[in-house]
Amino acid sequence: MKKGLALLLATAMTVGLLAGCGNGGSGQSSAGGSTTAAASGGGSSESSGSGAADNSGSSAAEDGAIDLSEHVDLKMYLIGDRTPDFDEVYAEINKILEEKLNCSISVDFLSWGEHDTKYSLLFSSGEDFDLIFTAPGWCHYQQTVALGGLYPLSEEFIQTYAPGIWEVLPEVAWQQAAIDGQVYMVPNFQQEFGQDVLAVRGDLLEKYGMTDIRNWEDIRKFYLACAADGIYAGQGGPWYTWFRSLGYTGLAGSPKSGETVMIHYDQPDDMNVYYLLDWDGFSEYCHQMKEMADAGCWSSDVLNSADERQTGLLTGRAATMVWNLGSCVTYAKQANAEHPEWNITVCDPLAERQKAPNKYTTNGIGINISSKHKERAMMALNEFYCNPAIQDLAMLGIEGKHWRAVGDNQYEVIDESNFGVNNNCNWGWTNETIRREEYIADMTPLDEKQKELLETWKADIREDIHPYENFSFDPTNVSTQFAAVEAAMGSYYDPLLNGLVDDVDASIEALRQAMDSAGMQDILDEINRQLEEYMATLN
Amino acid sequence: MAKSKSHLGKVKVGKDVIVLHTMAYLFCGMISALCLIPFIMIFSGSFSSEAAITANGFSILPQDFTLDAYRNVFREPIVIVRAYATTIILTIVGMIIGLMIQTMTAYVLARRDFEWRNAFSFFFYFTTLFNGGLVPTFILYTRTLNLQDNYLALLLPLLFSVYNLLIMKSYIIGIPDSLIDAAKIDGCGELRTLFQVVMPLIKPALAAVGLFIALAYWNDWYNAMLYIKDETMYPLQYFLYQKVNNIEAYKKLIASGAVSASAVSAISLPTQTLKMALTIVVTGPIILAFPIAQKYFIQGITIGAVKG
Amino acid sequence: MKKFLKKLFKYRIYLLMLAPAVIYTLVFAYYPMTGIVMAFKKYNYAGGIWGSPWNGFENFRFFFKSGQALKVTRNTVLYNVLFIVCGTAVQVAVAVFLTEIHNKWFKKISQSMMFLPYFISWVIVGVMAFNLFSSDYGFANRIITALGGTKIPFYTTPAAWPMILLFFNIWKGVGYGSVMYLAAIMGVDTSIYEAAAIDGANVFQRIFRVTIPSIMPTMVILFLMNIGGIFRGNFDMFYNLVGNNGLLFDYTDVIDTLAMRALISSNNFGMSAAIGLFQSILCFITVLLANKLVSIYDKDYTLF
Repeated sequence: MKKGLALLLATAMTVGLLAGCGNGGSGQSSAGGSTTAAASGGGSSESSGSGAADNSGSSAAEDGAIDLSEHVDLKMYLIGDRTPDFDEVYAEINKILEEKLNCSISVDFLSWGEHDTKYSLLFSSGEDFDLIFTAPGWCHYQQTVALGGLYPLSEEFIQTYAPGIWEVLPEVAWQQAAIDGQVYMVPNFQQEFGQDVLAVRGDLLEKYGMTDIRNWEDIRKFYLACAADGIYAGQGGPWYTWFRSLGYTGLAGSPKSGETVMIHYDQPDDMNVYYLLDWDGFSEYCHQMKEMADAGCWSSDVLNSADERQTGLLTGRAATMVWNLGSCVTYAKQANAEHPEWNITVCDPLAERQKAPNKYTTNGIGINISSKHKERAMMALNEFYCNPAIQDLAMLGIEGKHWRAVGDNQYEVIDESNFGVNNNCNWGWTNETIRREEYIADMTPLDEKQKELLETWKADIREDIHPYENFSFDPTNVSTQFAAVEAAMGSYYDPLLNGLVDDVDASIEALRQAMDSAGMQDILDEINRQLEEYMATLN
Repeated sequence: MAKSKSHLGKVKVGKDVIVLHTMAYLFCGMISALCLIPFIMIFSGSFSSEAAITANGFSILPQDFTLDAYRNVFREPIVIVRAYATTIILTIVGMIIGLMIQTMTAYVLARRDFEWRNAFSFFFYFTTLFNGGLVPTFILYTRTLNLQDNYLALLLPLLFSVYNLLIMKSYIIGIPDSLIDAAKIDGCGELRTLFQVVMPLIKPALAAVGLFIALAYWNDWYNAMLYIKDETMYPLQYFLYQKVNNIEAYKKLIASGAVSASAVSAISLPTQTLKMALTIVVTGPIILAFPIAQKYFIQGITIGAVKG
Repeated sequence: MKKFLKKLFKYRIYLLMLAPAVIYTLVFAYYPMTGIVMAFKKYNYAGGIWGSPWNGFENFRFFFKSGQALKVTRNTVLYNVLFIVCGTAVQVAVAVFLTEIHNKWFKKISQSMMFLPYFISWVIVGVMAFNLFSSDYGFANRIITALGGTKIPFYTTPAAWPMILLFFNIWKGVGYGSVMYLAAIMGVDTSIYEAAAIDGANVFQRIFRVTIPSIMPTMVILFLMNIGGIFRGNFDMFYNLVGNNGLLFDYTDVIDTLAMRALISSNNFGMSAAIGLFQSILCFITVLLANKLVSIYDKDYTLF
């Protein structure tokens, strides 16, 4: 993709100029301006010492191809709650943006509770804004693209206005962001491990004669031992661990958060997709769950429990907690502080499998299709992405007030209460090559364990990615069947996953019938059709 | 002799009364208790420590007494005070204007000499059955009327409720025509009839509908969520819901498959005790104000007295 | 036409008094009602409500295809009938009893108490219900076992839920509902009671001959209005009490919770408009019939 750089550069400049001419009334028209861009793609990577060493790709703007004479006020929507010092921090960011790009940015938040309702209303009502946080699955990406809300980002557009991002992001990231071959978001760049691990009571491990939980057999043994001992092992069936441990994973975009169709990620040349109910693993899992639930591995009320994930572990009602590494460590520390005798530790039940980081698209930023300043918005995003000063500000706050630097690439928190660390929806432009890592002065055993696990994962990253893992199913053509299937699964799916049905085989059969009559076959056909098309574009 | 006879008579008359009173006290007492106990648990819970609540569940008395939850609520007292002021003013203004419009409309719809009354009733009622959903309403408020960050966007949506209108109509329809005709013969215009003859007769109804309108304003957070971005304009309930809604958002986030670990750790969940403290903070004032309206439901009125 | 103008003139004061409400309703209810067309559209942002392409009845299909349409529609109606009948009975009983009680303090305090549940959000009610009914720590089961019974696993016993939901529905609405009837009773001319007392009627006769008939108009109006929502489920209540517990769905799934489950991940405007329109039309037909029936009985009591 990066071959023929010179050619691309030339194209980019031309397109940039054309864009300037074409968008007569959209803030690009005034000719002969005095200010020109100083794109930062290059400058950024200097401090980190890694990433793009070759800066030449980022010079389109510096060559004066982009006219920045008109001052622009950009508007960005982020997800979450505004922290007390947020405006102060963004005033600092705006100083940099004013100087470099002759623009400023104002941020509105869609709080956690309201973004489900308001995200789409912003687009429906034609609100005037430029940038918005987005992500497939959890933050409206596919839905917004399906309704035509986000601006398609062509390669030329990215190269021209965000050369720094183009340098940093690998091709696979753009592949993950593509819907029907077209990219609508800028994914972040970091190796975030979202995998669930287990926080486990160390005293119980010892009691049951175990030292670690590293695979499915260990989980099973531990869960059943807990049940026999009269303590709940966890809060429901470890479904995710099961299919991952067998080398399978869900196909993104399929019904029920992508869990109704499995792919064999372990075998990158296995081009089959496995419909959940035709996959032997599912039936076996359900039978095992029935056995474990009947033994008392978890409460029969799990489907309704008002408890949060950590409640069982913290109150001593459950022996484990399933969550991502960071959360497991946080709550394990909290529980150990109150009950040192529990000696809670963190185990990786998939230790025998290589890890792949989250998709880059787990967090990202899109441009509103009716934005009047798409070019400047992209340039500003490039700045957030590649300018270490802005990256630090958005992630950590003001140096000296909220944090202090330790060496070149570490930080230590001074005041976490008014801005927080990585807490202000700065995730859309996280750029690992310039991001600072936390400096921990006195490591607890749990910190060591966390560090150790992370290092193990990073040292042994699964390189052999199944091509389907970067594909995301677009259900627009079968939306009726999709909705019907999601509704029809309700009565059986969750009870099966947690072993709460009376007759496993009968329930699976009932689920199959419900899904068939809701039109699952149409969805499977459409998935196969799209996969064929997708594979054709890859080759 | 005569005395004992009358006494006997009283007992005879009183038997049904005693039975009724026993039933009434038992029934109302039981329901009140069922309503009060959970509220006491919430009250106690708001003064309990989070750890105790998660470990032992709700209880009648506070466990491990602490003011932490309230410290959290009142972390920025100015904000809460301002939100109280916003809500109280909105509630009062909305209640007065709403009550006027509702009563006036209901009065006309209850007039038997107004042949079009059913057509208009239908015109109003129809809107409770069919609505165009959120999108067109949102566009109307934000684009057409441009009411974003405007108190009118909080006032207007609740100003007129067909539900209250028809309840009001059902109360007014009970007033004998003769009274109104008499007023008209005396030379009263419609408005004067409404204000001087009808309104005094339906004081309990005015109090009830006024209370309903006030409650609607008091409890409204949805319109604030849609139309208000300026934090200094937030009404009280919106604070509660912003915090409580995080739980829902969080569950969805976890369930959505592609989970961003950054997002998961950034979302701050309200603790059980905070939820309870917010309930108390929001409910308190209106429960204290309730007796103002209440006296009209407790004392009847005598039409004869007005008539005379 | 002339007749019409004449009437227009005759009713000018009435019409003027109606004007604010009519204008309000036109602007804030009828104008946005155009959004109903979204039920027949394949909505997109660029086209908006009017410009998006037509989609026929496609948006309605998912509901029937889910195979649950009949079940959830039946559940919705049955729950509403249960709520209307029992809710009204309790609210009227409370109102009548409170009127008969002469102790002012008891009256005032018990009435205030009954209003408290109205302020407790369904989220918190859901948590309290779990505290009450969970099999491990639930208060109900602790009592049952203390009395020597065997635990009832409420959250895996669907048949228990109609009663539980009914209880919470009545509990939450009793304060609000009884105020409506109290206001109606208080609007009754006290001299009528005095006349009845002189006639030698006992209190029960008085209640059934005087009090109940006097609140009939309010009862009928409220009944009709509730009928107007008979195909709509109270989403907040069902969702917070039952959640996604599929084991209970046979007894607890209503149209609104099904639609939420079906559309949560696709956020399809057309389909949610379609399901709303489906409910509206069914409600409309039901309420027309009910209103007709009432009008046979007494024209004054009708909605329109």
